[in-house]
Amino acid sequence: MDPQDIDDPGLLARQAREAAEKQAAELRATHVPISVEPPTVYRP
Amino acid sequence: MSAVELAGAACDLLEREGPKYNALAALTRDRARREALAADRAIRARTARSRLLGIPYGVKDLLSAKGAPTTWGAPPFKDQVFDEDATAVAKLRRSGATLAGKLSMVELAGGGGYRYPSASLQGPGRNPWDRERWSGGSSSGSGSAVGAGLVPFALGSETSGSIGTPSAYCGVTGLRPTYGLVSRHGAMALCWTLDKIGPMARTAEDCGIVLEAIAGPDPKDATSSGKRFRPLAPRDASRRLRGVRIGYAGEEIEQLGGATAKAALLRGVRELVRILNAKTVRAALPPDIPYGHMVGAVLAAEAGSIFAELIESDRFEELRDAKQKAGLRQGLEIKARDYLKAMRLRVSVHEAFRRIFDDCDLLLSAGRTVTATPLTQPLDLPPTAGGANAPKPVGNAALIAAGNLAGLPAIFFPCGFGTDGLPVGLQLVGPPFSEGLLVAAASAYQRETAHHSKRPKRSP
Repeated sequence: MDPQDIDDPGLLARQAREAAEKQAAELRATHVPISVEPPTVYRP
Repeated sequence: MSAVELAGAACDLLEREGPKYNALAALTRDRARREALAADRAIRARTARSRLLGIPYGVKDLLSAKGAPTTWGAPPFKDQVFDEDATAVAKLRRSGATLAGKLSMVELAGGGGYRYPSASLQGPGRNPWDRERWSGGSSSGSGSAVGAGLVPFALGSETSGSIGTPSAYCGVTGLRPTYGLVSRHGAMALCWTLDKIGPMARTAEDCGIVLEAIAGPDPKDATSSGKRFRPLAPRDASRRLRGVRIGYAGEEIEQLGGATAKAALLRGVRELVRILNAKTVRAALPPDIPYGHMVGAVLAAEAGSIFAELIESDRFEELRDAKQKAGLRQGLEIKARDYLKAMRLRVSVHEAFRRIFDDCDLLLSAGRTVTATPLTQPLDLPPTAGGANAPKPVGNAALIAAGNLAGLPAIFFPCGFGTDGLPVGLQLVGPPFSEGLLVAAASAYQRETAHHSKRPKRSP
Protein backbone atom coordinates (compact mmCIF):
# COMPACT_ATOMS: atom_id res chain seq x y z
CA MET A 1 0.00 0.00 0.00
CA ASP A 2 1.23 3.52 -0.75
CA PRO A 3 2.37 5.12 2.55
CA GLN A 4 0.81 8.42 1.46
CA ASP A 5 -2.56 6.68 1.12
CA ILE A 6 -2.53 5.06 4.55
CA ASP A 7 -1.52 8.35 6.19
CA ASP A 8 -4.25 10.45 4.63
CA PRO A 9 -5.76 12.51 7.51
CA GLY A 10 -9.32 11.91 6.31
CA LEU A 11 -8.77 8.16 6.15
CA LEU A 12 -7.09 8.15 9.57
CA ALA A 13 -9.98 10.12 11.11
CA ARG A 14 -12.46 7.62 9.70
CA GLN A 15 -10.40 4.67 10.93
CA ALA A 16 -10.09 6.22 14.40
CA ARG A 17 -13.87 6.70 14.52
CA GLU A 18 -14.51 3.12 13.39
CA ALA A 19 -12.03 1.75 15.93
CA ALA A 20 -13.76 3.75 18.69
CA GLU A 21 -17.14 2.41 17.60
CA LYS A 22 -15.84 -1.17 17.65
CA GLN A 23 -14.29 -0.51 21.05
CA ALA A 24 -17.57 0.86 22.41
CA ALA A 25 -19.53 -2.09 21.02
CA GLU A 26 -17.15 -4.58 22.70
CA LEU A 27 -17.33 -2.76 26.00
CA ARG A 28 -21.12 -2.52 25.92
CA ALA A 29 -21.40 -6.21 25.10
CA THR A 30 -19.43 -7.17 28.20
CA HIS A 31 -21.56 -7.71 31.30
CA VAL A 32 -20.82 -5.94 34.57
CA PRO A 33 -23.07 -6.50 37.61
CA ILE A 34 -25.13 -3.43 38.45
CA SER A 35 -23.50 -3.23 41.89
CA VAL A 36 -19.97 -2.73 40.54
CA GLU A 37 -18.64 0.81 40.98
CA PRO A 38 -15.65 2.16 39.07
CA PRO A 39 -12.45 2.46 41.09
CA THR A 40 -11.97 6.08 42.13
CA VAL A 41 -9.25 8.16 43.69
CA TYR A 42 -11.75 10.73 45.00
CA ARG A 43 -11.25 11.14 48.74
CA PRO A 44 -13.23 13.91 50.42
CA MET B 1 37.57 8.33 40.12
CA SER B 2 35.66 11.20 41.71
CA ALA B 3 31.95 11.76 41.20
CA VAL B 4 32.80 14.93 39.27
CA GLU B 5 35.05 12.98 36.90
CA LEU B 6 32.43 10.27 36.50
CA ALA B 7 29.66 12.78 35.80
CA GLY B 8 31.86 14.54 33.24
CA ALA B 9 32.65 11.25 31.52
CA ALA B 10 28.98 10.27 31.47
CA CYS B 11 27.98 13.61 29.95
CA ASP B 12 30.75 13.33 27.33
CA LEU B 13 29.57 9.83 26.42
CA LEU B 14 25.92 10.84 26.26
CA GLU B 15 26.72 13.92 24.20
CA ARG B 16 28.90 11.98 21.73
CA GLU B 17 26.94 8.72 21.45
CA GLY B 18 23.36 9.69 22.38
CA PRO B 19 22.52 11.35 19.05
CA LYS B 20 23.49 8.14 17.18
CA TYR B 21 20.42 6.54 18.74
CA ASN B 22 18.30 9.72 18.86
CA ALA B 23 18.36 9.05 22.60
CA LEU B 24 19.29 12.46 23.92
CA ALA B 25 16.69 15.18 24.45
CA ALA B 26 18.91 17.52 26.49
CA LEU B 27 22.27 17.30 28.19
CA THR B 28 22.28 18.52 31.81
CA ARG B 29 26.04 18.92 32.25
CA ASP B 30 25.97 21.85 34.69
CA ARG B 31 23.45 20.14 36.93
CA ALA B 32 25.41 16.88 36.80
CA ARG B 33 28.55 18.74 37.90
CA ARG B 34 26.75 20.48 40.80
CA GLU B 35 25.26 17.21 41.99
CA ALA B 36 28.60 15.43 41.59
CA LEU B 37 30.41 18.09 43.65
CA ALA B 38 27.86 17.52 46.43
CA ALA B 39 28.35 13.75 46.09
CA ASP B 40 32.14 14.13 46.38
CA ARG B 41 31.71 16.26 49.50
CA ALA B 42 29.43 13.61 51.02
CA ILE B 43 31.90 10.85 50.13
CA ARG B 44 34.79 12.76 51.72
CA ALA B 45 32.75 13.54 54.84
CA ARG B 46 31.45 9.97 54.98
CA THR B 47 27.99 11.40 55.66
CA ALA B 48 25.98 9.53 53.03
CA ARG B 49 25.26 5.84 52.65
CA SER B 50 23.22 5.82 49.45
CA ARG B 51 24.33 3.27 46.89
CA LEU B 52 23.48 5.83 44.20
CA LEU B 53 25.94 8.42 45.49
CA GLY B 54 27.75 9.88 42.48
CA ILE B 55 26.09 7.54 39.99
CA PRO B 56 25.08 9.25 36.71
CA TYR B 57 21.68 8.59 35.16
CA GLY B 58 19.22 9.79 32.53
CA VAL B 59 15.54 10.52 32.78
CA LYS B 60 12.74 10.23 30.25
CA ASP B 61 11.85 13.70 28.99
CA LEU B 62 8.38 13.23 30.43
CA LEU B 63 9.69 14.10 33.91
CA SER B 64 10.58 17.65 34.87
CA ALA B 65 14.07 18.64 35.98
CA LYS B 66 14.35 22.16 37.29
CA GLY B 67 15.64 24.59 34.67
CA ALA B 68 16.12 21.97 31.93
CA PRO B 69 13.92 21.58 28.85
CA THR B 70 11.06 19.12 29.30
CA THR B 71 9.61 18.64 25.84
CA TRP B 72 7.45 15.54 26.36
CA GLY B 73 8.93 14.51 22.99
CA ALA B 74 6.45 16.79 21.25
CA PRO B 75 7.14 19.80 18.99
CA PRO B 76 4.40 21.97 20.60
CA PHE B 77 6.33 21.75 23.90
CA LYS B 78 9.87 22.08 22.55
CA ASP B 79 10.56 25.24 24.62
CA GLN B 80 8.89 24.08 27.84
CA VAL B 81 10.92 24.49 31.04
CA PHE B 82 9.71 23.77 34.58
CA ASP B 83 10.94 25.41 37.74
CA GLU B 84 10.71 22.27 39.85
CA ASP B 85 12.05 18.72 39.83
CA ALA B 86 9.59 15.87 39.47
CA THR B 87 9.38 14.05 42.79
CA ALA B 88 11.25 11.01 41.42
CA VAL B 89 14.05 13.26 40.13
CA ALA B 90 14.19 15.15 43.44
CA LYS B 91 14.45 11.86 45.33
CA LEU B 92 17.34 10.74 43.12
CA ARG B 93 19.06 14.08 43.75
CA ARG B 94 18.71 13.52 47.50
CA SER B 95 20.15 10.02 47.03
CA GLY B 96 23.24 11.57 45.49
CA ALA B 97 22.70 10.43 41.88
CA THR B 98 23.80 12.85 39.16
CA LEU B 99 21.46 13.70 36.30
CA ALA B 100 23.46 13.57 33.04
CA GLY B 101 20.62 14.12 30.58
CA LYS B 102 16.99 14.10 29.57
CA LEU B 103 16.22 11.16 27.30
CA SER B 104 13.99 11.12 24.25
CA MET B 105 10.49 9.68 24.11
CA VAL B 106 7.58 9.21 21.75
CA GLU B 107 5.62 12.47 21.53
CA LEU B 108 3.11 12.73 24.39
CA ALA B 109 4.06 9.14 25.25
CA GLY B 110 2.11 8.00 22.21
CA GLY B 111 -1.27 8.47 23.83
CA GLY B 112 -3.14 8.80 20.55
CA GLY B 113 -1.76 5.58 19.09
CA TYR B 114 1.10 6.34 16.70
CA ARG B 115 2.02 4.59 13.49
CA TYR B 116 5.74 5.32 13.05
CA PRO B 117 8.82 5.24 15.30
CA SER B 118 9.53 8.75 13.97
CA ALA B 119 6.74 10.10 16.21
CA SER B 120 9.19 12.02 18.38
CA LEU B 121 10.76 15.46 18.51
CA GLN B 122 14.18 13.76 18.59
CA GLY B 123 13.44 11.44 15.67
CA PRO B 124 12.94 7.69 15.69
CA GLY B 125 14.44 5.86 18.66
CA ARG B 126 17.31 3.81 17.22
CA ASN B 127 18.11 0.45 18.74
CA PRO B 128 21.67 0.04 20.07
CA TRP B 129 21.79 -3.50 18.62
CA ASP B 130 20.87 -2.33 15.12
CA ARG B 131 20.29 1.33 14.46
CA GLU B 132 17.90 0.55 11.63
CA ARG B 133 15.58 -1.07 14.18
CA TRP B 134 13.33 0.69 16.67
CA SER B 135 14.31 1.04 20.32
CA GLY B 136 10.69 0.65 21.37
CA GLY B 137 8.50 3.22 23.00
CA SER B 138 7.49 5.32 24.53
CA SER B 139 10.56 5.33 26.83
CA SER B 140 12.75 5.10 23.71
CA GLY B 141 15.79 7.07 24.86
CA SER B 142 15.81 5.38 28.27
CA GLY B 143 15.93 1.97 26.57
CA SER B 144 18.60 2.81 24.04
CA ALA B 145 20.81 4.85 26.42
CA VAL B 146 20.90 2.04 28.99
CA GLY B 147 21.19 -0.63 26.27
CA ALA B 148 24.11 1.17 24.63
CA GLY B 149 25.84 1.59 27.99
CA LEU B 150 25.62 5.39 27.93
CA VAL B 151 24.12 5.58 31.45
CA PRO B 152 23.97 2.92 34.17
CA PHE B 153 20.27 3.50 34.69
CA ALA B 154 17.39 5.67 33.55
CA LEU B 155 13.84 6.44 34.54
CA GLY B 156 11.03 5.52 32.17
CA SER B 157 7.29 5.51 32.44
CA GLU B 158 4.58 3.07 31.51
CA THR B 159 0.91 3.60 30.81
CA SER B 160 0.57 0.36 28.87
CA GLY B 161 3.87 -1.10 27.65
CA SER B 162 6.22 1.88 27.60
CA ILE B 163 8.81 0.39 29.98
CA GLY B 164 8.30 -3.20 28.84
CA THR B 165 8.71 -2.66 25.11
CA PRO B 166 11.99 -0.70 25.10
CA SER B 167 13.38 -3.01 27.78
CA ALA B 168 12.67 -6.06 25.62
CA TYR B 169 13.84 -4.48 22.38
CA CYS B 170 17.04 -2.96 23.81
CA GLY B 171 18.05 -5.88 26.04
CA VAL B 172 17.79 -4.07 29.37
CA THR B 173 15.99 -4.75 32.63
CA GLY B 174 12.94 -2.62 33.39
CA LEU B 175 10.74 -2.49 36.45
CA ARG B 176 7.15 -1.28 36.27
CA PRO B 177 6.12 -0.57 39.86
CA THR B 178 2.70 -1.07 41.40
CA TYR B 179 0.43 1.88 40.60
CA GLY B 180 0.91 4.49 43.32
CA LEU B 181 4.27 3.25 44.63
CA VAL B 182 6.24 5.97 42.80
CA SER B 183 4.97 9.54 42.75
CA ARG B 184 3.96 10.91 39.38
CA HIS B 185 4.24 14.52 40.51
CA GLY B 186 6.16 16.46 37.86
CA ALA B 187 5.55 13.83 35.20
CA MET B 188 3.47 14.54 32.11
CA ALA B 189 0.04 13.10 32.76
CA LEU B 190 -1.14 10.87 29.94
CA CYS B 191 -3.68 8.77 31.79
CA TRP B 192 -4.12 9.42 35.51
CA THR B 193 -5.35 5.94 36.36
CA LEU B 194 -2.67 4.04 34.40
CA ASP B 195 0.58 6.07 34.54
CA LYS B 196 3.55 4.64 36.45
CA ILE B 197 7.22 5.75 36.74
CA GLY B 198 9.91 3.09 36.96
CA PRO B 199 13.62 2.32 36.55
CA MET B 200 15.42 0.77 33.59
CA ALA B 201 18.93 -0.57 34.20
CA ARG B 202 21.38 -3.33 33.35
CA THR B 203 20.31 -5.65 36.15
CA ALA B 204 17.28 -6.38 38.29
CA GLU B 205 19.36 -5.61 41.37
CA ASP B 206 20.10 -2.12 40.03
CA CYS B 207 16.38 -1.61 39.32
CA GLY B 208 15.69 -2.50 42.96
CA ILE B 209 18.27 -0.01 44.21
CA VAL B 210 16.76 2.78 42.09
CA LEU B 211 13.20 1.85 43.04
CA GLU B 212 14.11 2.05 46.71
CA ALA B 213 15.26 5.63 46.10
CA ILE B 214 12.24 6.83 44.12
CA ALA B 215 9.37 4.99 45.84
CA GLY B 216 7.48 6.35 48.81
CA PRO B 217 4.69 8.63 49.91
CA ASP B 218 4.20 12.01 48.26
CA PRO B 219 1.52 14.49 49.35
CA LYS B 220 1.80 16.08 45.90
CA ASP B 221 0.39 12.95 44.22
CA ALA B 222 -3.16 12.08 45.31
CA THR B 223 -2.73 8.49 44.09
CA SER B 224 0.42 7.86 46.14
CA SER B 225 0.00 4.60 48.06
CA GLY B 226 2.11 5.85 50.94
CA LYS B 227 4.18 2.67 50.79
CA ARG B 228 7.96 2.45 50.54
CA PHE B 229 10.13 -0.22 48.93
CA ARG B 230 13.16 -2.12 50.17
CA PRO B 231 14.78 -4.94 48.21
CA LEU B 232 14.65 -8.27 50.01
CA ALA B 233 17.76 -9.17 51.99
CA PRO B 234 19.59 -12.15 50.39
CA ARG B 235 18.36 -14.60 53.04
CA ASP B 236 14.73 -13.42 52.69
CA ALA B 237 15.01 -13.59 48.90
CA SER B 238 16.22 -17.21 49.06
CA ARG B 239 13.42 -18.11 51.47
CA ARG B 240 10.73 -16.45 49.31
CA LEU B 241 12.04 -18.12 46.14
CA ARG B 242 12.11 -21.59 47.66
CA GLY B 243 9.27 -23.51 46.05
CA VAL B 244 8.12 -20.43 44.13
CA ARG B 245 5.10 -21.16 41.93
CA ILE B 246 5.16 -19.66 38.45
CA GLY B 247 1.96 -19.31 36.44
CA TYR B 248 2.41 -19.78 32.72
CA ALA B 249 0.24 -20.34 29.66
CA GLY B 250 2.61 -20.14 26.71
CA GLU B 251 0.16 -19.98 23.80
CA GLU B 252 1.05 -16.32 23.30
CA ILE B 253 4.62 -17.38 22.54
CA GLU B 254 3.78 -20.60 20.68
CA GLN B 255 1.11 -19.03 18.47
CA LEU B 256 2.03 -15.33 18.31
CA GLY B 257 5.81 -15.49 18.73
CA GLY B 258 7.70 -13.98 15.83
CA ALA B 259 9.80 -16.32 13.70
CA THR B 260 13.04 -14.74 14.93
CA ALA B 261 12.06 -14.58 18.61
CA LYS B 262 10.07 -17.71 19.41
CA ALA B 263 12.82 -20.26 20.01
CA ALA B 264 14.87 -17.93 22.23
CA LEU B 265 11.78 -17.02 24.26
CA LEU B 266 10.88 -20.66 24.85
CA ARG B 267 14.49 -21.42 25.82
CA GLY B 268 14.36 -18.51 28.24
CA VAL B 269 11.17 -19.79 29.85
CA ARG B 270 12.71 -23.24 30.41
CA GLU B 271 15.94 -21.70 31.71
CA LEU B 272 14.12 -19.46 34.19
CA VAL B 273 12.00 -22.30 35.56
CA ARG B 274 15.09 -24.49 35.94
CA ILE B 275 17.22 -21.84 37.63
CA LEU B 276 14.49 -20.87 40.08
CA ASN B 277 13.65 -24.53 40.61
CA ALA B 278 10.09 -23.28 40.31
CA LYS B 279 6.87 -25.19 40.29
CA THR B 280 4.91 -24.22 37.17
CA VAL B 281 1.13 -24.08 37.13
CA ARG B 282 -1.18 -23.40 34.24
CA ALA B 283 -2.44 -19.81 34.53
CA ALA B 284 -4.16 -17.76 31.84
CA LEU B 285 -6.17 -14.56 31.85
CA PRO B 286 -9.91 -15.03 31.28
CA PRO B 287 -10.44 -14.60 27.52
CA ASP B 288 -13.83 -12.88 27.82
CA ILE B 289 -12.55 -9.54 29.15
CA PRO B 290 -11.79 -6.95 26.41
CA TYR B 291 -8.46 -5.82 27.90
CA GLY B 292 -7.22 -3.96 24.82
CA HIS B 293 -10.48 -2.09 24.34
CA MET B 294 -10.53 -1.18 28.03
CA VAL B 295 -7.07 0.36 27.85
CA GLY B 296 -8.12 2.05 24.61
CA ALA B 297 -11.20 3.68 26.15
CA VAL B 298 -9.58 4.69 29.44
CA LEU B 299 -6.46 6.07 27.80
CA ALA B 300 -8.31 7.90 25.02
CA ALA B 301 -10.81 9.51 27.39
CA GLU B 302 -8.25 10.60 30.01
CA ALA B 303 -5.67 11.75 27.43
CA GLY B 304 -8.45 13.54 25.55
CA SER B 305 -9.33 15.49 28.67
CA ILE B 306 -5.69 16.18 29.58
CA PHE B 307 -4.76 17.43 26.11
CA ALA B 308 -8.12 18.93 25.05
CA GLU B 309 -6.72 22.48 24.93
CA LEU B 310 -3.79 21.37 22.79
CA ILE B 311 -5.97 19.26 20.52
CA GLU B 312 -8.21 22.24 19.82
CA SER B 313 -5.31 24.65 19.23
CA ASP B 314 -3.23 25.43 16.14
CA ARG B 315 -0.13 23.95 17.85
CA PHE B 316 -1.68 20.50 17.63
CA GLU B 317 -0.74 20.27 13.95
CA GLU B 318 2.94 20.40 14.96
CA LEU B 319 2.73 16.82 16.27
CA ARG B 320 4.70 14.45 14.04
CA ASP B 321 2.44 11.44 13.65
CA ALA B 322 -0.81 11.76 11.67
CA LYS B 323 -2.34 8.63 13.21
CA GLN B 324 -1.58 9.88 16.71
CA LYS B 325 -3.35 13.15 15.89
CA ALA B 326 -6.41 11.30 14.62
CA GLY B 327 -6.45 9.14 17.75
CA LEU B 328 -6.13 12.09 20.13
CA ARG B 329 -8.93 13.97 18.34
CA GLN B 330 -11.15 10.90 18.55
CA GLY B 331 -10.45 10.73 22.29
CA LEU B 332 -12.53 13.87 22.73
CA GLU B 333 -15.56 11.93 21.51
CA ILE B 334 -15.43 8.98 23.94
CA LYS B 335 -18.79 8.68 25.66
CA ALA B 336 -18.93 8.75 29.46
CA ARG B 337 -20.82 5.44 29.48
CA ASP B 338 -17.99 3.71 27.64
CA TYR B 339 -15.23 5.19 29.79
CA LEU B 340 -17.10 4.26 32.95
CA LYS B 341 -17.86 0.79 31.64
CA ALA B 342 -14.16 0.24 31.00
CA MET B 343 -13.40 1.52 34.50
CA ARG B 344 -15.99 -0.76 36.09
CA LEU B 345 -14.58 -3.71 34.14
CA ARG B 346 -11.22 -3.07 35.80
CA VAL B 347 -12.78 -4.59 38.91
CA SER B 348 -13.16 -7.86 36.94
CA VAL B 349 -9.49 -7.68 35.97
CA HIS B 350 -8.52 -7.30 39.63
CA GLU B 351 -10.63 -10.32 40.51
CA ALA B 352 -9.13 -12.37 37.68
CA PHE B 353 -5.62 -11.65 38.93
CA ARG B 354 -6.63 -12.38 42.53
CA ARG B 355 -7.78 -15.84 41.42
CA ILE B 356 -4.60 -16.37 39.41
CA PHE B 357 -2.41 -15.42 42.36
CA ASP B 358 -4.28 -17.84 44.61
CA ASP B 359 -2.54 -20.59 42.64
CA CYS B 360 0.82 -19.02 41.82
CA ASP B 361 3.22 -16.37 43.12
CA LEU B 362 4.30 -14.87 39.80
CA LEU B 363 2.97 -14.90 36.25
CA LEU B 364 5.43 -15.44 33.39
CA SER B 365 5.22 -14.41 29.75
CA ALA B 366 7.29 -12.85 26.96
CA GLY B 367 8.32 -9.21 27.34
CA ARG B 368 7.45 -8.86 23.65
CA THR B 369 6.75 -11.79 21.35
CA VAL B 370 8.80 -10.26 18.52
CA THR B 371 12.24 -8.65 18.22
CA ALA B 372 12.66 -4.96 17.49
CA THR B 373 10.90 -3.93 14.29
CA PRO B 374 12.52 -2.02 11.38
CA LEU B 375 12.32 1.77 11.72
CA THR B 376 10.37 2.02 8.49
CA GLN B 377 7.74 -0.55 9.43
CA PRO B 378 4.37 0.87 10.51
CA LEU B 379 3.76 -0.25 14.09
CA ASP B 380 0.09 -1.06 13.53
CA LEU B 381 0.47 -2.99 10.27
CA PRO B 382 0.00 -5.88 10.38
CA PRO B 383 -2.09 -5.69 13.59
CA THR B 384 -0.15 -6.97 16.60
CA ALA B 385 -1.19 -8.03 20.08
CA GLY B 386 -2.16 -4.97 22.10
CA GLY B 387 -3.05 -2.76 19.13
CA ALA B 388 -6.54 -1.42 18.47
CA ASN B 389 -7.12 -3.93 15.67
CA ALA B 390 -5.39 -6.78 17.46
CA PRO B 391 -6.45 -10.35 16.85
CA LYS B 392 -8.23 -12.11 19.75
CA PRO B 393 -5.54 -12.66 22.38
CA VAL B 394 -4.52 -16.18 23.33
CA GLY B 395 -2.91 -17.37 26.55
CA ASN B 396 -1.51 -14.31 28.28
CA ALA B 397 -1.05 -12.20 25.17
CA ALA B 398 -3.03 -9.42 26.85
CA LEU B 399 -0.79 -9.42 29.94
CA ILE B 400 0.63 -5.95 29.28
CA ALA B 401 -2.85 -4.44 29.02
CA ALA B 402 -4.30 -6.51 31.86
CA GLY B 403 -1.35 -5.92 34.20
CA ASN B 404 -1.55 -2.18 33.63
CA LEU B 405 -5.32 -2.08 34.09
CA ALA B 406 -4.85 -3.80 37.46
CA GLY B 407 -1.89 -1.58 38.39
CA LEU B 408 0.34 -4.60 38.97
CA PRO B 409 4.13 -4.57 39.11
CA ALA B 410 6.20 -6.33 36.46
CA ILE B 411 9.86 -6.90 35.73
CA PHE B 412 11.18 -7.20 32.19
CA PHE B 413 14.59 -8.80 31.64
CA PRO B 414 16.66 -10.19 28.76
CA CYS B 415 16.66 -13.95 28.16
CA GLY B 416 18.73 -14.26 25.00
CA PHE B 417 18.81 -13.26 21.36
CA GLY B 418 16.62 -13.98 18.38
CA THR B 419 17.90 -15.49 15.17
CA ASP B 420 18.33 -11.93 13.86
CA GLY B 421 20.80 -11.14 16.67
CA LEU B 422 18.36 -8.85 18.49
CA PRO B 423 17.53 -9.19 22.20
CA VAL B 424 14.44 -10.94 23.49
CA GLY B 425 13.17 -10.86 27.05
CA LEU B 426 10.67 -12.19 29.53
CA GLN B 427 8.28 -10.52 31.91
CA LEU B 428 7.22 -11.58 35.38
CA VAL B 429 4.10 -10.02 36.88
CA GLY B 430 3.24 -10.21 40.56
CA PRO B 431 0.50 -9.16 42.97
CA PRO B 432 0.40 -5.53 44.16
CA PHE B 433 3.60 -4.46 45.96
CA SER B 434 5.45 -7.70 45.17
CA GLU B 435 8.43 -5.82 43.70
CA GLY B 436 10.75 -7.46 46.23
CA LEU B 437 9.95 -10.93 44.95
CA LEU B 438 10.08 -9.80 41.30
CA VAL B 439 13.56 -8.31 41.77
CA ALA B 440 14.69 -11.40 43.70
CA ALA B 441 13.46 -13.77 40.97
CA ALA B 442 15.03 -11.84 38.08
CA SER B 443 18.26 -11.36 40.08
CA ALA B 444 18.51 -15.10 40.75
CA TYR B 445 18.14 -15.67 37.00
CA GLN B 446 20.73 -13.03 36.17
CA ARG B 447 23.25 -14.50 38.63
CA GLU B 448 23.18 -17.74 36.63
CA THR B 449 23.00 -16.31 33.09
CA ALA B 450 24.87 -13.72 31.03
CA HIS B 451 22.13 -12.48 28.68
CA HIS B 452 21.81 -9.18 30.54
CA SER B 453 25.55 -8.50 30.50
CA LYS B 454 25.96 -8.72 26.71
CA ARG B 455 26.54 -5.29 25.17
CA PRO B 456 26.13 -4.19 21.57
CA LYS B 457 29.15 -3.04 19.59
CA ARG B 458 29.32 0.73 19.71
CA SER B 459 28.22 2.30 16.44
CA PRO B 460 30.89 4.19 14.45
